[in-house]
Amino acid sequence: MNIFRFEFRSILKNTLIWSLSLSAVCLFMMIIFPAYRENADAIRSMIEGFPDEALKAMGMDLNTIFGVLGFYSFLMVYLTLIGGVQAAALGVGILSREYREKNSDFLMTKPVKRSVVVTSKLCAALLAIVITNIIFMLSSVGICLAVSDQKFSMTALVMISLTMLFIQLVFLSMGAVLAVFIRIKSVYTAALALNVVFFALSLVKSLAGKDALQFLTPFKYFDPAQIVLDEAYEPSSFIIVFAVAAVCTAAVYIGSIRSDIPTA
Amino acid sequence: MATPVITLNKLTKYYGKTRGILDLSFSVEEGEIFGFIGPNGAGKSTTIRTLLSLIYPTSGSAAIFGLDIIKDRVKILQDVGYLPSEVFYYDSMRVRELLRYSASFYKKTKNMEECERRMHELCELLELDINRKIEDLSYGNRKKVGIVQGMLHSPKLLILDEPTGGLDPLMQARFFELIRREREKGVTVLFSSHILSEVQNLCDRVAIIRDGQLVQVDSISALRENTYKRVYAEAEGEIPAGYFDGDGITAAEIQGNSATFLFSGNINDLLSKLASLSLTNLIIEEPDLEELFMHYYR
Repeated sequence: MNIFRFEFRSILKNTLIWSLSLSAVCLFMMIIFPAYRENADAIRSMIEGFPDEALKAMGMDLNTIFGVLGFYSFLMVYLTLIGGVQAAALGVGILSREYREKNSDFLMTKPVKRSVVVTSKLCAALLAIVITNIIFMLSSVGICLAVSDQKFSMTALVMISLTMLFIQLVFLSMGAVLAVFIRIKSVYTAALALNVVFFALSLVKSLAGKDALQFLTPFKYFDPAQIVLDEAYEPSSFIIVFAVAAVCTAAVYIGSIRSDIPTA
Repeated sequence: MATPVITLNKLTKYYGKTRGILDLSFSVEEGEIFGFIGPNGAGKSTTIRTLLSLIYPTSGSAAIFGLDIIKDRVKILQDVGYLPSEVFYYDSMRVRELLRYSASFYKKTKNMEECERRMHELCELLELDINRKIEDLSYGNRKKVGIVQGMLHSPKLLILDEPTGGLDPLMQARFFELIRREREKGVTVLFSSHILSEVQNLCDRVAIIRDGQLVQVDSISALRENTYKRVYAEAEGEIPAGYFDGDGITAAEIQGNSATFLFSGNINDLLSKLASLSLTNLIIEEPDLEELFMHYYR
């Protein structure tokens, strides 16, 4: 518990900054929604001239984008990218901290199992992600209520917003794997690289339109348009999220327990 | 007979194909200060890191308090204090916070008030300001933090890896005094160093390691008999070739009016030999370990 408390205290400030930044980005992007909708016809005629591939790559669906949920779903493509960077950085950072600060000897010569160290760190990171999502979800609800003069499904909004949590969970576990198996010195370089690769894959999926590629990138695990329609998640989305997170977490434990601690 | 505090049995560690330590076997008895000495890269830190389960042995085994270093790691570490040779901590923390965090790992088996009292006592002895941030500390002061965090839970075994680096002579003296007091209380100390004199002054027995292999384990008194001195002499005239060939003298090099060699034996014999030269300069010092190993532990 002492490691959990120590780690959580260390990442709390950073988590609050990320959470508020995510909410601020959401606010700045959603604030243009009323003007966007008022000029829907002009914008539609302009966008219709774009190639389909470009619209898909940008996450634009002309059937839904002029409603608040459609617009929010469109923004989520970019908000989850930011959230993905935060989560990956958290995973990389929290598990590579002692390596980067060269103080592994301090922690690893204390009477505590390596598995307990990993669990404490992952739990602290998980709590940080949950806090981020609570703040982000509350902000999203408030912002959408403020910018929309039409009724919309609160359930769908919450569900779309919640996809952030699941995507972050995946990136957190992937980041942790990177930290355990690669000696990383720059947390944000690693986190950005991981996200850029998967974001690029999501663009490929959008352009190719093949469902088989859906599970290649966390950014495509959930389909916001489908969530708006069904007000439900695809079971396959959950399966892939938890499968990836479980495999990554298992790899993190095995790697952490079996590996030699590098010299400072 | 009591179980040794530390027992190594053919302990071997390879880093891939690179040699770490090879077939190390020795034991450290309860209540002794055991020196572990060797030149840089000999395998001292590898041995210590293996004993602490920071790294896993390739083969062989070791036990601390009679417990297996891998299986019983957590139990062993409850009573071990470790000071690494390189001291790095969480830079953004204050010394007090770090030490309390360190103490929090011993909550299950130690009295926290006692840890707190000991922390203050040690900080006072070493003149360490607990309100300062780690990142603002000099190397010497970081070393003091390392000493305090390694000792605040009153461990039964202290593993010290090059502990005096960065400490000024006054602090070194205090530190040695502290270690002696711990020994009197029954604490066992594994003291790794490449400085021969500090091992000679402090330890009861010593293990000498070179190229990952144990050269010998001996008492300090036996080591003293074999102690070498590096001698540098300058004379007014040319020193005859072969002048310093003789008992106890090795690695002699004469160049014109100066000579340098290693000497082991009766110092009076050496002084008599030197007295017959008209000297302009004479330096008698401890050879560094590398040199000693090169000529003695071949």
